[in-house]
Amino acid sequence: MADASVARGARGSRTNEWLLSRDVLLPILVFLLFVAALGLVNDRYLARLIALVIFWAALATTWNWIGGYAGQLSLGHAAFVGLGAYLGYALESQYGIPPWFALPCAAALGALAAIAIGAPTLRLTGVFFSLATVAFPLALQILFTYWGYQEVLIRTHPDNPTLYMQWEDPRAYAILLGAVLLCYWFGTVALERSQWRYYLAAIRLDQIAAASVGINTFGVKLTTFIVSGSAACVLGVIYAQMLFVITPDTVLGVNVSLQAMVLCLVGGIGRAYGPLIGTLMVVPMTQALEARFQSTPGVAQLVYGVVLIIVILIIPNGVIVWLQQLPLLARFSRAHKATSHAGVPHEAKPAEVSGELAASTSERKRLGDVVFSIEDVSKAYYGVTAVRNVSFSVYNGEFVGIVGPNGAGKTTLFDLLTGFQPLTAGKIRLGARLSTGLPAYQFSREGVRRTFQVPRPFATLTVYENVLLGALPVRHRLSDDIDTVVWRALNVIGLDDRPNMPAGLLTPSQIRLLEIARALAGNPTVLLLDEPLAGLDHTETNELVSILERLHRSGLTIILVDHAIATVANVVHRMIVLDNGNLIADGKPDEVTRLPRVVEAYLGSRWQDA
Amino acid sequence: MSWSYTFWAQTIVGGLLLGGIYALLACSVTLIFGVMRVINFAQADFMMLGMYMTYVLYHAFGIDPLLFSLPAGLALAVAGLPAAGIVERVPRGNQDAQLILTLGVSSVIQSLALIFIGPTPKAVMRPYTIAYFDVGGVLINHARVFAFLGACLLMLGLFLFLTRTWIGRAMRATADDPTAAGGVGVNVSRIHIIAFIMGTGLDGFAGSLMVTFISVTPFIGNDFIMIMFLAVVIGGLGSVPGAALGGLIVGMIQSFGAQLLTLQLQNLTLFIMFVVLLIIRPQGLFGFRMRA
Repeated sequence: MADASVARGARGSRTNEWLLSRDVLLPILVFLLFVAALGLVNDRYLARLIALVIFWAALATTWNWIGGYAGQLSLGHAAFVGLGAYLGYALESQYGIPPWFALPCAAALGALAAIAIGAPTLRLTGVFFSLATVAFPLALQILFTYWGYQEVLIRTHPDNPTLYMQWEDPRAYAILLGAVLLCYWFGTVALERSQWRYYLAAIRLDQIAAASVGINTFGVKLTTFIVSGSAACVLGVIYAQMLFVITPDTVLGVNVSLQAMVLCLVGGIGRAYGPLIGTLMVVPMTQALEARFQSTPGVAQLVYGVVLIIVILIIPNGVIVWLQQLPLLARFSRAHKATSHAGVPHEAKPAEVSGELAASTSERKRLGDVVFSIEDVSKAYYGVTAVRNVSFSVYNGEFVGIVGPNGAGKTTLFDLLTGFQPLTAGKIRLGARLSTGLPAYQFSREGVRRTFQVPRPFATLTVYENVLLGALPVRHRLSDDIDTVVWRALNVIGLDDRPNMPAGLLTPSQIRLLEIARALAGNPTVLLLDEPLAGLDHTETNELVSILERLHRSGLTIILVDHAIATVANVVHRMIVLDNGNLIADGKPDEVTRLPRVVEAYLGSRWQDA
Repeated sequence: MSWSYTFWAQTIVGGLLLGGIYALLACSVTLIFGVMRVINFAQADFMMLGMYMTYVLYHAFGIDPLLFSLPAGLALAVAGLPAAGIVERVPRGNQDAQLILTLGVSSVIQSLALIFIGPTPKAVMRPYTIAYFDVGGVLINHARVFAFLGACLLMLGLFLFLTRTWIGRAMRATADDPTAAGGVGVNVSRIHIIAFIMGTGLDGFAGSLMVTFISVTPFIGNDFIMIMFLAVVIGGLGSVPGAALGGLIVGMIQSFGAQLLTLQLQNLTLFIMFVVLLIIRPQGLFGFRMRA
């Protein structure tokens, strides 16, 4: 069984214990056994195949970080391999610098290239990103061909093969690449044991929701891309030495990028073991096919294509998912759940915490301080003004309703208040700080937390993990006290009885509650709810309203946006009414609802005399 | 060639004629992507098959490629059926698996072409391959003009199909929201398959027209698929007029690149343009913001 809580399980306990844990010792042992076993391999062809398999496993592992864990299917991974390959060659041929020294240079070059490629492309989502990344290795391929490097030979140094990474024996490459793979494996393990695992999962599942909990989605993606590109670039140096001949096609070709992706997808995308299993299945097969059908070109590729189709049709989610479903291996994978596979949740167990949030939410501000104010805020879309010169302040501990008929500009105002859309004009202050122009994740980190009109849970993560993601970006690391925060939020909202249920399986009203719990876990100064009552039945509405009232009593500032003016009037203590993008009323609910201007906005002027 | 009026006119006409074919190919990509949300890596290979089929029929029976282009399109639509079936078998939304499947299909088609036809480039020589219109000193190749006109006609047909027929409307509805389309009685699965085979059919048609001025090899698809993708991204994924415009732009850039730069650097302008466009207008010229 897994540890008592996610927090303890994920953090390990202390650094030195971690260093001696199974996660570290076992891979090192496997590596040593591998080196020993290589001694028994006398066949040159086999040794070379082993080195190739390890190279591809390592490359696929680097792709898996950005393509699997972060869900950004890059088709440009070859750019890094190619840059590394040519860098190693250039340093040696121009300055006589051995490839060993090219390794750190390649890491730096890979990072720079990742910034250059990632900065424009990572703003794109989905397939747009994939297609955009295709262009970069192709452009490099053209450039290197133009510069006259269609086919370059690595200069030989028979006097000192080890210094120049030019071993006669392919087993030496296998050991070197094995050591690199070991490092990258630890990279994956570190990722899975840290908060990054959750950040990347959130980005993979829903980038807007990720921003709403305070994750700098662009920054996290770019960082992952830099690490991934840097690691791939280092591999490029070694790969070129092993190949001995560099052509733009072998190191920069589309096939290199595609292969890295195919290996992950066949093995299991976003899983630690995925790239390893995928490589073990695909690379030996392609090599064997090429050797077998050398005389008739095309047959090897044909068989490869057919096998690829069949494998994907039978197991579309990759071999590892399929293996885990086998009864024999199911037990094994459960036992390893807590340490290895992202996406397979930890078992969370309830902790003893009180359901009161009072201490955690209101300590920052005294009652009556301004927590939130907007001045002359406007928003226009190509000339259509959705919100016009709206100003108001919200004081600490208030329960405010923003209402208005459909199309009044409520949702736009809501997006402006939470940083999800930029202002056309005006200012927003959080407390005393001017926060106009801040990105949404900064609003969230400053304590402005929101829910969505159409809820955006992280559907495949568990209830516990969803709420954990609400707390992580402000606390930055997994720890014991974060566990308490999560349980307190679950407790308040009443979802503490099903922490391990995937969020996608909850009922619609439970998903609403989950979003509120997720927002609460971030220790909000102000909680903004976008039409939380829409679609709920009478009982569910009452339940939600009583939860909100309890939160309000414990000192939380709440802003509720809804068009159902009657329901809102019964709940809130202050009501702001919008119509056609203008603020038309602001005051106590019973007074506001009687204002002729409000009645007109809701019912039309013909009802004015009624 | 001097930097004269004819030089520029020649370059523009060349770009336009090439761009017309690219536009048709880009439409086929955007059709399959827009409706199925699948990036189909095998599409340029269907174009290659169209080229080979036309080549074989011309040499075996002397059938003129221009006469055969429509039947070639139909034949490739039929040939696309098994591929469509394979891709549609994967649970919807598993884009990763679908992408790999199309890679597998591409691999199979290319290797079959290599095994049965061999690696030597093949071309169809017709009188119009080497005939030119002379318009005020600008030489315009007959074969390219015919291909351009054919592509335009087919794109017009596609546009009318999508806007005027029931299936076309059902297709646009499916592209917009498959769940809602299913809710109003559209057989989403069937629409997906129709979109897919229409896409491969368009590719076959384009290939059939192109073989009169571009020679075909089993791996020609690898060069074209990137151009097709770039055209579509420039125009905006999922928009047919955008894709057509993207194709024209790519043709123009290539044509100017060919005149101003050395052979090796021609496609570089394309990629630079592409990256610049991404930075200033990521959704493409005609693009809509993609739904998450």
